[in-house]
Amino acid sequence: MSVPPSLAPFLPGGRPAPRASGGHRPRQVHSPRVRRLAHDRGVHLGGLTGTGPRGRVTTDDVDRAASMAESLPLATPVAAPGTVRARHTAVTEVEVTRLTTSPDLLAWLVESSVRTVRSVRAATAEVVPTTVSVHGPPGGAPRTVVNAHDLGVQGIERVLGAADTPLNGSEGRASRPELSVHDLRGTGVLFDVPVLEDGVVVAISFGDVVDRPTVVELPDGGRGIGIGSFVHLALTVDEHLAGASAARLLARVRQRLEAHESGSSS
Amino acid sequence: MAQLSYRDAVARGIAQEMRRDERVVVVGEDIAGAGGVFKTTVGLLDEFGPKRVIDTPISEQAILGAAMGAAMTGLRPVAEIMFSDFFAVCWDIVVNQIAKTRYMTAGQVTMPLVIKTGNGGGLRFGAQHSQSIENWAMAIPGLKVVTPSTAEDVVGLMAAAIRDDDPVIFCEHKGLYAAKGEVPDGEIVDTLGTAKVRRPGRDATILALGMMVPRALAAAEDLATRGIDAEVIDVRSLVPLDTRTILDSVARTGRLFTVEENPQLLGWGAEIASLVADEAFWDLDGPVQRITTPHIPLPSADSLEDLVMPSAESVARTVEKALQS
Repeated sequence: MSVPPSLAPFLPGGRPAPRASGGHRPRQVHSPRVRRLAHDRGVHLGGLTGTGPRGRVTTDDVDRAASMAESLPLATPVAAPGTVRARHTAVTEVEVTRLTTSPDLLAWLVESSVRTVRSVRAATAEVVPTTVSVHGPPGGAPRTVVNAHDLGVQGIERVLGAADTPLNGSEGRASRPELSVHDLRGTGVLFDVPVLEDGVVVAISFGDVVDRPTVVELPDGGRGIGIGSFVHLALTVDEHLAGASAARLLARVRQRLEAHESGSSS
Repeated sequence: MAQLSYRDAVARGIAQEMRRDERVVVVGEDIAGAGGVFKTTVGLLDEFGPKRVIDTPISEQAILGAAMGAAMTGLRPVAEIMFSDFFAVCWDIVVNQIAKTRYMTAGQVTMPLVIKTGNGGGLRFGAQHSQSIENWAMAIPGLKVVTPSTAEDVVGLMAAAIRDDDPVIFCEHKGLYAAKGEVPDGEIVDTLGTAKVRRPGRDATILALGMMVPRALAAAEDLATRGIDAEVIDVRSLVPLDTRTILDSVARTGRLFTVEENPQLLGWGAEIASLVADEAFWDLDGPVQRITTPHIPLPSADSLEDLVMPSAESVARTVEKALQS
């Protein structure tokens, strides 16, 4: 007996068979509940390994990832007055394949750094930094982005590209930078640890973007080898930024960049 | 507190209201002298007499026509349609007259009428005497639809239905008539539009109605032995629907299953799946799954009827498989 397709799902055993996966690992699917929890707890799902059935990311996985991020050491040792100021540097590598065209990677980095430092400051009820000193690419004069926290990526790129970007310090005390970003692309250097200028409490340095083979997800749900663009990030933090460690801050900057890269940022 | 069968609870609920309110009358085939084909009106004729407990000819249209007229003119009748399948022969009166009178008279005429009916399968009555018709009735604006699963709920919901000014389709599950349960002494009045959490749980929400409630509870106990803690909600009232209890549960568990003794196409669970998609999408940790009969008439043969009806085993199997995929 032939069954009309419209009725098939309502007959015994009439449900269509699941599509064959072709032997590939099933495509990673996140339930609405997991996606909401990840958003609420600031966890980037793309970086998680699921422990649920068939590798599904569970709410427990998200909770665990969020707890691990929170358990990174929060307090930075504070040096006694008159002694050398304590500084800490952390380094990571992040994929930026989609962030190297337009807007430029520099704008994405400035945006991610500003938002990260600002969120830490908001948590400790300190003044929110608004001014960023941008160095490089090598050979150019340092530029300053004021009220950077009010700007999106496009806005930051516009300011960086404008001919009349104020020179560092030209706006007076109100615009003294607390954050500096150092662009070393084109030098063959992966990153450096910049000297913190007076008043600057966080510096981020990045160098050449390197293309190399990486594991990618294929349209059919399987995995293959593709080419991705990667960059090293170094973040140096001064003791004056209370309540934040270099590792914690860098993890957050990286998380935000990854969200931009995957198109899931808000 | 006394042990009471589901069928005796029907008579107790009606009698409770007949003692309280002399406008309450009962009409139907063989409900007086015989005490009802399913023995759900035993003792009413003796206590309340032939003017309030009235046998009728074999005509569903006559039963509901008379009950509707009585309701419009000041009585509060309880009419019996012996098998819910027979609503099909008096559907015009139910849908076009009873359900719409209050609306079409701008509220000037109320319809305090309960239509009680033997509903559901599992008793080998065959395709024409085994259907679950809640979803026929819940599609009609103006009708309330109730299906109790315990003796205590039968008493309380019957009282609430009789006291309601709108027509209530009161579905008694034939497969539960012999089931016994504790029923408190004294007057019991429940509330229409309220569901009950029969078993709290963390991992999945199972909604069930009528005879599917004990099966869902058995499935939950089975699942518990394998580390799955399922919550079982007795929906009890489809119109009005206790959306709060359902959505709260889904918010906690993230998984929803409906156990329905009706074909999947347009069953009540579809409406709840739609509700949850609208109101609780971000709570869901997996797709809503409905456990129903297939889209065929219920068979008479024991083995075939058992095969198509949701069972404790099929519910447990479905829930476990879903949670592991």
